Amino acid sequence: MVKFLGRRLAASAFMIAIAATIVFFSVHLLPGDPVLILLGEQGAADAEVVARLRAQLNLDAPLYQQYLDWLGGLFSGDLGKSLQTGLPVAEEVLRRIPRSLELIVAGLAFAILLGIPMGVVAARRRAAPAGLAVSAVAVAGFSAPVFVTGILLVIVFSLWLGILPSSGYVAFGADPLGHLAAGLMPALTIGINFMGVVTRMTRASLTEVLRRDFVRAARARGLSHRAAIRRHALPNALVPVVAILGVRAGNLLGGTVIIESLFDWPGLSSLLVSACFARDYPMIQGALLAIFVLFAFISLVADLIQSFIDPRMRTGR
Amino acid sequence: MTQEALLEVRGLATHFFTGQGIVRAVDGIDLTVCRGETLALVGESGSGKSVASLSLLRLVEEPGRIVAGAVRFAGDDLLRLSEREMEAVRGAKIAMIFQEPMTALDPVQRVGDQIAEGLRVHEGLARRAARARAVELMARVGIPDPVRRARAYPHEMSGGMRQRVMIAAALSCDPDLIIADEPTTALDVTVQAQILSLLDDLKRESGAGVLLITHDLGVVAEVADRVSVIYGGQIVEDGPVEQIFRRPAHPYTQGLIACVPDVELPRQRGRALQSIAGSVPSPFDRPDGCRFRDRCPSAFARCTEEPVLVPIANGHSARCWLNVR
Amino acid sequence: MRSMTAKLVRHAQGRNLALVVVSPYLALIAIMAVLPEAIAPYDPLAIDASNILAPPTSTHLLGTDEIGRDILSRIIYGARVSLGVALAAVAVACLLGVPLGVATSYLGGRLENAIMRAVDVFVSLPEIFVAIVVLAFLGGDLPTLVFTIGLLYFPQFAKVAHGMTASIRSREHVLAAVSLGAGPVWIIWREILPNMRSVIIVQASFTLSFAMLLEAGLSFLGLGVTPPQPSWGQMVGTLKDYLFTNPWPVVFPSLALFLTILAVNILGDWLQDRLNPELGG
Repeated sequence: MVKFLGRRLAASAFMIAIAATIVFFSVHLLPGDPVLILLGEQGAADAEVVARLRAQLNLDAPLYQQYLDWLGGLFSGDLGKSLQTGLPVAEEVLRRIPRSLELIVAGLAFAILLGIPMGVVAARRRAAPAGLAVSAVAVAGFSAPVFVTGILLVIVFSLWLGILPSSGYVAFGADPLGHLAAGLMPALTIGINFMGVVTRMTRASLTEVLRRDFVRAARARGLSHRAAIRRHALPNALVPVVAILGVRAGNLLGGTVIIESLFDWPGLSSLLVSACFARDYPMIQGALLAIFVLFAFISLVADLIQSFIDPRMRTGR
Repeated sequence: MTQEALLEVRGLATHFFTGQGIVRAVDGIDLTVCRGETLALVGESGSGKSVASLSLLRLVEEPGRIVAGAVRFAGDDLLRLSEREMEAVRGAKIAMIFQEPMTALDPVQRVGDQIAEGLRVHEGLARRAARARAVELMARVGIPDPVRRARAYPHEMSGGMRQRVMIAAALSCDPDLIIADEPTTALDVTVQAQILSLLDDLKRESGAGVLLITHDLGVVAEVADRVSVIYGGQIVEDGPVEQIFRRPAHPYTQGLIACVPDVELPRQRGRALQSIAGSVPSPFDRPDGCRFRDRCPSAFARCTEEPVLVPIANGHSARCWLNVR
Repeated sequence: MRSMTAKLVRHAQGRNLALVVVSPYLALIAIMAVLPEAIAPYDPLAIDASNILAPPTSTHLLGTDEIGRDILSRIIYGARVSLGVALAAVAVACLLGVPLGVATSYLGGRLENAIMRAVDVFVSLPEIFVAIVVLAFLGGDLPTLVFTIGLLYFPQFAKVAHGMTASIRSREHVLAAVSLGAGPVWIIWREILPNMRSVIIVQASFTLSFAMLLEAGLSFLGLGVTPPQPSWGQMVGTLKDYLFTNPWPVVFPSLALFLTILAVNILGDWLQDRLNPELGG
C-alpha cells in the first residue's frame, strides 16, 4: 500500500510537471504581446518604456530561460506577480482554491449519493417503468448545459420562491448561513449535471457485473438479490466508475467555470476568465496551473478509493 | 441400492422468452438423486444441463423462467416456496460449485470472507467466528497454510486452489445436496483428478448427494453412480453408470462414449463413432420428433414421431425408437 | 409468460420509439441550420424598438431580446452555429484522430508508447479551460472555434482508433491475410476501417454532444462567435442578465440547447445499442 501510494504520488508530480509545461508554453506561444497590451497604444510608441517594462517582467530573456525561471519559481511557491494588481499570484490563487474545491466536493457528494442508488435502480429494473424513468432523468441531467440547469434553479429558488440568493459570495467567517445559502445553488447545479454521469456509469457497469458468475454464486450461497448486489456486485461495479471519474475529472467538472461565472462565485475559474480578458499572463498561468493541480488531486483521491476497493490495484497487477 | 430419494425433479421445464422466440432450454426433465449418491447429468454445451441446475435453485434469470414441473427436496416442492424460504435452502441445504472458480469468486473480497458468507447468512455467526470456521473448512479441503490463505484474494491463488475455495464455501453449512456444474473443466488435468477425488471423499464423509453436471464422460466414469444424459432439453437416457457405459441404448450416448478415448464401446454395426457429426441444433428450430435425428447415424422413418423414455432394463431407460420393437 | 413477451415487445418498440421522436426533431434543427432564411419570420438582427424583452406574443412567437430582436428568428439562425460548429469540430477531430490512431498502431515500439501516453495526457486535460485561454487570445471567429474544439477532441478518436486497430490486427483472419502477403494499406482499407466504422460512429455521436456543450459554454461566457451573429449559448449568456426583468426570453434558447443535446444523446444511445450491443450498458 505504501509502495502504491508512493508510485501514485510520483505519477501525480509528473502530471503536474507536464501540466506546468503545457501551461507555460500555451500561454507564451499564443499571439499578442502583453507589454504592448499593458501599455496601450500611446505607451507602446515609446521604445524605451517598452524595453524597460519588458525587462521588468522578465520577458526579454530567451524562452527557455523564462521557462526555467517559471519552473524554479514554482518550487519556491513563487508564481510571479499579477500584471494588474502587482500582488503575488500565489496568494490570490491560494485564496481561491478552497472556494472552487468546496463547490466541487459538495457537488460530487450530491452526485454520488444520488447517482449510485439511481444507477442501481436503473440496472436492476432496466425494462420496468422505474428503471426507464431513472435512465431518462440521468440522460436529461447531463444533456442540460450547466448554465441551463443553473438558470432553472435561479428561476425556481430566487425568482419564484425567493428563498435563495441568485448569485454572489459570502465568506464563511462573516456569515456561515449566508455562505451556505449562496453556495447551495452552484453546488447543486454541479451535482445535478454530474449525477447524470454517475447514474449512467453505475448502470452500465452494474449491468455488466450482474451477469458475472460470482453474483450468481453469492445467491447460490443464500444471499438475497439485494444483499448480493450490495456485498458483491456493487463494489465490483464501482471500480470502473471511480476509475473513469478520476481520469476524466477535468473534463467532467469543466462546468464549474460556467457555474462560477453564472453565480458570481469568486473561485479559480472566474479568476482564470477575468485574467484572460485582462491579459494578465502570470495570473493566467497561476490559475490554470492551480486548476490542473486541483484535478490531479481529484484523480489521486479517485485512485486511492479505487485501490481501496480493488486489491488487484494495490499489487500493481 | 435401496436408498431414500433426496431430490426428485419431475417434468421440470425452463423456457427463455427472447425477442426472437421462445427457447425451450429445459423441456420436461426428470431427475432423482439419493443420499450418498452421485448423479451425473451429461450433455454437450447448449444441451440445457446448466440451465437445469440453475433451475433447481431457482436462479434462472430473465428472460428465462421455470414454466412447469416440481422439484421435491426434503419434503418440499422448491418451486412452491417463497423467495425467502428459498434463500434459506440455497447454500444451507443445497450448495453449488461453479465451473470457473476465477469468475465465480468475487475478485475484490478475501476468499476467507467468501467461504464464511454462507455461515454468516444461515447460522448468524459473527465475523470472527465465521472466519475461524472458514479457516477450518480450508484446511479440510486441503488448502495449505489456511490461516494466511484465508486473507488472500482470488487473483493471488492458482486455479486448483480457487476451486478448493469454492468447494469449502459449498461445504460450509453441511448441505444435503451439492450441485457441481463442470467443477473441473477449467482446471489442468492433474488438478482435475485431485478435485474429483476431494469431492468424492467429502461426499463419503458427509453423506450428501451430488448432482454432477458435466460434458466429460471420463469424469463420469470416475465418480458417478448413475447417469442422466440430456440432449435438446430432454433426458434421452438414464441409468446406472455401468449399464450406460456397457450398453448405451441411445445413439447419442453411444456417440458421446465413442468420443472418450479410453472407454471401450462395443462396436455396433461394424463402425465406431469418433465424434458426433453436426452440432446441437439451434433451440429455435429443433427438428420435430426425435431431436437427435438430424445427427443420428441410425435414424429411420419413425424418428419423425416424438419418442418417449422407455425402460430397457432395471433402472435403465432411453428415449429412442430403436429400443421399441 | 404472455406478459413477459408483451413486455419484451414493448421494450423493443420503446427503443425505436426514441428514434421516431428524436429524428424528426433533429431533422428540423438541421433544416434551421441549413436554410434559416426560409423559415425564420424575421431578420435575426432586425430591431423592433417597440418590443423590448417582450414575452411571447402573436407578432413575436417566442418574445424579443434586450434590444428588441425576435427570439424565434435568432434561435433559428443560431442553430447554424450551435449545430454547425459542433459538427465541423467533430469532423476535424475524427479526420485527425482516426489516421493518427491507426498510424500509431503501425509504428510500434517506444514511439507508439510515447504517442499514446501523450494522447492520454490530452484526453484527461480539462478541455474547457484550455479552450478559454486559447479563445480569449485568438478571438472567436467560426474557424477558430471549430479548430479549437476539434483539436481538443481529436485525441479521443486517436485513442479509440488505436485500440480498435490493435484488436483488429490481432484477429486470426487478418493475421492470415498478412502472412499471405497483404500489405498495411490493403489491411487498413479492407479490414481495419470497415471494422471500426460502427465504433467511430458511436464515438462521433457522443463527441457531438460534448462539442455542443463546449461551444454553448464558451458562447455563454462570451468567447464564442462574435455578436451580433446569434448562437444559443451566447443568447442565454446575454439574456440571463435580464432574468429578473423578464425570465421568458432566456427560457427558449436554453430549451433549444437542452432538447438538441438530449436528442443527440438519445441518438447516440440508440446507435450504441444498434451497432455495438456488446459494449453497451
